[in-house]
Amino acid sequence: MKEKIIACIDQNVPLIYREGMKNFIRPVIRIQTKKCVTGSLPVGSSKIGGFPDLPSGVEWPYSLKDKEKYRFVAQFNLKELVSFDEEGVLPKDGMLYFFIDFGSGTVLYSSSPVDQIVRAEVPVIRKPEKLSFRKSLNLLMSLS
Amino acid sequence: MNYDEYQLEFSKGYTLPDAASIYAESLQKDVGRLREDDPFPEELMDNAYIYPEFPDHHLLGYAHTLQGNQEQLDWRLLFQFSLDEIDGSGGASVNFYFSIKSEALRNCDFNDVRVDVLN
Repeated sequence: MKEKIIACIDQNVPLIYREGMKNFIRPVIRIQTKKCVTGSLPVGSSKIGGFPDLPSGVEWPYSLKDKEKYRFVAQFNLKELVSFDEEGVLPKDGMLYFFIDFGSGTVLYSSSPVDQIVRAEVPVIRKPEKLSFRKSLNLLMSLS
Repeated sequence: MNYDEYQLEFSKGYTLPDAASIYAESLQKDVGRLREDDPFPEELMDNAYIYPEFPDHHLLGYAHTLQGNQEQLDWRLLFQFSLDEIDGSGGASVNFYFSIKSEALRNCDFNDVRVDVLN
């Protein structure tokens, strides 16, 4: 595939820009998704959504800015990625986790063996509280 | 609230940043002007895995964004996640970058990560 891209550059791009453009070619790991029943994938599988499989004792991360729990996005079993990582830049094993919040996010890495990680449950962010109501009257601010 | 669960399949690919970034680097010209004057060769767009295949999910490569390539010299894309592709909400693209300077990947240190959320 890389050869095909290089051939296209040679055919389409003015000579003086060709070499510069070729230097920008970068390997990528493409991800195709297939929706499945939540909770059906084995612990330690790469996935987007559902619940993360965290090492026991690791707490669900939260934003330092507003103290809210992050939302789980994805986890990758790095052993599954070794054959796709052409540059060899990712760790060769362990798990990589991605979480987001409004405008921020965090990444966790774990080198724990898969048999030492467990499916995490969604943390309780706020306990339910009973509501009570009462009647009242008010006026527009200009009249008050 | 959590997203539905998705099984993942991986494949190798190659990517280029969008045309504006490439030509801007090559020519050291104004990015906006280049977008209008130097359209990216159609044939190359068909064969390379490049913008405008946005939105998508991918690891490494370049971030593809509606605003053009946002990469800065000290950061490399680790993971691009398209919320819209998952929940159809028209939501954000979330890009996670790692620091090249701190060799975050080699050291397995993911504290030095930058996150861009693009609506």
